[in-house]
Amino acid sequence: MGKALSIKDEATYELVADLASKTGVSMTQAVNDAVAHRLDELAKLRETEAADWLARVKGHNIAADFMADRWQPPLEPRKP
Amino acid sequence: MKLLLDTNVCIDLLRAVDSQVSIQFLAAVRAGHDLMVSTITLFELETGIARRGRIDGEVAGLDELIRGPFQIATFDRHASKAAGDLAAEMLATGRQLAACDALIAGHARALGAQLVTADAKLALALKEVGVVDWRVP
Repeated sequence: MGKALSIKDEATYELVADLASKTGVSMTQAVNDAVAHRLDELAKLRETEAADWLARVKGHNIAADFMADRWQPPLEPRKP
Repeated sequence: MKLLLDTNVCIDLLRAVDSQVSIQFLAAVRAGHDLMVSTITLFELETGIARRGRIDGEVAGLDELIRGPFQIATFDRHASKAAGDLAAEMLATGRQLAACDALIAGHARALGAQLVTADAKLALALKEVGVVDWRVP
């Protein structure tokens, strides 16, 4: 809920006004619907940006053979 | 939810060898989780690059990686205490964590984050919060 209330951008305000004027719903309902809609839009935007980033980093190989040194003895019992 | 991505997850994202990791990464982004990468992981990746003579492609890969949709979490005094406590707890049970395991697992604990890792053995060290393995569907 705290996250939803933090969506105070212009697009959300416009959406609230649009919903309230066109559908005749209460202002509270319009705010709730608009925030839910904007949260979904922002989530999709985040995902799209992340997918673009993933496409850019994919195929960059960083040698990880050194990781074997880390993984070999991770949780072996200590010798008395 | 806070999620600290272990080094092996970063490598999976770079190599794109396991699409399941990519799928779960995108799902976490969409869900709005707070994704973080430790400076200890950057150290490990820098080590890998340095050992091969800082090849241009690998340096570029790391440069691009740190522009990803996550916060770079600095290993600070709080993290050092948590890592020290964790290492001591494991030693008390007769088990010894590799240094970077202890540092990253301790960092996750200090951040109050779940550790995303393919190293299932770290679940023992972080049993109070558990670990997540994105290789598992």
